[in-house]
Amino acid sequence: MIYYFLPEPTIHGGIKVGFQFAEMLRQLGFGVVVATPNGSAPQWFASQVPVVSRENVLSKLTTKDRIIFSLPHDYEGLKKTAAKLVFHCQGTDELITPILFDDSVEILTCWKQADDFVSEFGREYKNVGISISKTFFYSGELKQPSTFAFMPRRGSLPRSEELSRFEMREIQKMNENQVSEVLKKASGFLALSENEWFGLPALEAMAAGCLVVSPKTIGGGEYLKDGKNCFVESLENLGQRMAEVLGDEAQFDLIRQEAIKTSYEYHPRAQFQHLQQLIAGGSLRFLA
Amino acid sequence: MTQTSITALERALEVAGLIDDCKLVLVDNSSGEPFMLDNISTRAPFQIVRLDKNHSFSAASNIGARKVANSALLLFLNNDVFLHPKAISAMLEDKKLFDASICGARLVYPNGLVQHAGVEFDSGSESAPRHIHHFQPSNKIPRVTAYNQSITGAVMLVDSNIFWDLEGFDEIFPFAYEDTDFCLRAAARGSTTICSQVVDSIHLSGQSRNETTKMFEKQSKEIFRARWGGRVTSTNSGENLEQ
Repeated sequence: MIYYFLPEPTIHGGIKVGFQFAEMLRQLGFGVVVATPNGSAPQWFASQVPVVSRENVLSKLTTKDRIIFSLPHDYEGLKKTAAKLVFHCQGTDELITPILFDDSVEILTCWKQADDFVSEFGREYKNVGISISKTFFYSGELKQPSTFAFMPRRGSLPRSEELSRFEMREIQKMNENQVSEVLKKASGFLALSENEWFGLPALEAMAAGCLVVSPKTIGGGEYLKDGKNCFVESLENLGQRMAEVLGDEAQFDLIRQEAIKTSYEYHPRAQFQHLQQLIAGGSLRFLA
Repeated sequence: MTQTSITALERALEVAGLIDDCKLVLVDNSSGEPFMLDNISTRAPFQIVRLDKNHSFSAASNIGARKVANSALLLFLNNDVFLHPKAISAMLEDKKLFDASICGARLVYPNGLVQHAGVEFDSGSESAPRHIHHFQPSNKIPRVTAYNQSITGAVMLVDSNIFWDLEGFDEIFPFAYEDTDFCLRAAARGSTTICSQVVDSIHLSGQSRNETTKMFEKQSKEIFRARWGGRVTSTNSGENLEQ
């Protein structure tokens, strides 16, 4: 049995990434379930993956079982079990280092930043990809001009005279469908965090046809192409940049189209096909 | 009704090439007028299990299943379901294609509206199950078989080893929810469930509902909620977190 261990079901991108991966493995015919404290299931995004109690699982693990985990804090406890460990590396943190020194742990990554980080330790890894939920893909909704969406929990909105010209829509305490509705109607998305590992919300906004204005982030370099599919700008100058962009309708549309095109590289179908190829090539040893 | 259901079943078994390899067990769950062998006509080997005291759906189903415990596959079928001739062959084909352990079938009311096309769950702490596409015209719903979290026990084809590993339907449920509970318990062990959408079979549905079963259903709902509330993922993308 394959268990994907997660620390909680609350709103955190890594939780969704874990569930998406587990769901795809299930669709590829592997028996995978997610283990959370008390078996609580996340209620903020769509999934069909069964959820079981971490506590119950821990008491019955055998050498035949495999555990995928993504939170480095789980490592110490899980390595005491009989199960084979697989680390789904979703970030770059010094807490991950001990895991990378443990050759018995198979390493999976999901984006380039994590690839580079794992490579520095000379570890072999397989990038299993990441995808945007289907609900975010733009389907022709009418865009409200001069409306930008943002997520306050990712960072505070900078004070700026230019920003006051826009209607700003907060995305907070919403489920995935509600977020996608806001994004599909917004003209743009303002990314506010400079400390994103990957920045899935910005990519989801691109899929929803938003013009994304983002500060330079650690992991976003994989898909944020300044002036091509988004604008990369420091937080202080975000407002000014947004004003410039909206003044040029042709460029605005061009960038939005390019953003949608980029997002399709992260369509669930693309990740599914990628996983199929990895499995066919025998690259994911824990599935053998 | 029961004879019509059996005739449709045998026709579907014949089309699937299984009519000579199966055994039929009719569980008479304390019907007012007992079913008699002389009154039922079948081609396949046939047995009636008479329960003089009314049992829960789960208990009655488990008793029936024990009569064919060594079979590789078990098909549970309500007597108010009239299978399409191709229903079983389509279920077997889909089950193999998806490598699923449990397979249901699309069911429609006599007027062509969907009664069952798989089960999904409300998000939030209730995790209430509901039929997908319920009351929608079946001919408007794409016939795409896919993974489901659960299906109805009105038509359920299941690997026998999975069924017995889980000790059958949980008899704690007085009436209803035992089928969904079973699928969720199977999923927690890595098994998958699908609902074959290829053809429509007719399900009259609710033929045995009365005040007593309504009370039992309420009790079952409470048991289900206590066991699964907040522990089931939802395909409708989450509760309203602003509430």
